[in-house]
Amino acid sequence: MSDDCANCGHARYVHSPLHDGRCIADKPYNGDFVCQCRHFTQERGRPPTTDDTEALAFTDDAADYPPQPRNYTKVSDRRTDDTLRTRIAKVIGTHEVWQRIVNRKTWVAPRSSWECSCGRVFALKVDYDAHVADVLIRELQPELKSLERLAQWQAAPRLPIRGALFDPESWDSWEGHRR
Amino acid sequence: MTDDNDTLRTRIAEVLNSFPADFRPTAVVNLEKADAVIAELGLTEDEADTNVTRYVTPWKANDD
Repeated sequence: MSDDCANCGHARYVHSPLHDGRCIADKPYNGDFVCQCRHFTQERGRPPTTDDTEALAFTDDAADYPPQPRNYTKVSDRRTDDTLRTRIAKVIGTHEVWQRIVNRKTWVAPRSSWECSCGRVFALKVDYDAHVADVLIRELQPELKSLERLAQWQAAPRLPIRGALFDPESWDSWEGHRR
Repeated sequence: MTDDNDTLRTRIAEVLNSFPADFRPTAVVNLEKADAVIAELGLTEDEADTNVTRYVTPWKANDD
């Protein structure tokens, strides 16, 4: 008997965001563990089978049948979806920027710079945007790989990011210039 | 950015750069940026809204 759910393939007791943090596959059924994510299986393109219904009836939550839609199915709240759109938004959200204003009298660096939340500092906003674009392309490679358009774009020459001032590791050495 | 650097990278960077400073909730702005990037990629709404969950489901593995 496998420890993975025979229905959706998750390991037992995985707290998946697709399941609203609920433990899944907590009941043995027909020699395997199955979860109650009937809605999930429908969404993945497999029509519900009689086994699904029996699995639902077997669980303690059978009184809740039919299962209520989870948050991730709401079109109005796409942040909980796992789509290309939300994945791009999440990547952008992990690389936010703020502008560091530097006093020209005590600082040899350019007057202002753009610091990404990942720690990299850029002299120009366009260089920060190019950095986010790089991250997007790298992170979304599996999803975009099948697109023929991506292959065409990737064939074009790529230039290094201009204006990257320093790595965060060397920040202390720049602090020394204030003396 | 010049036109001769017409790569995916520069296209996305220009799209992101076109968004001015915004004081609305970050999640909302990021979704709008994602929409703009998707439009730049030439994807349709259906493609953008298709689930892209990376793990392989058992029946899909059997189909392959």
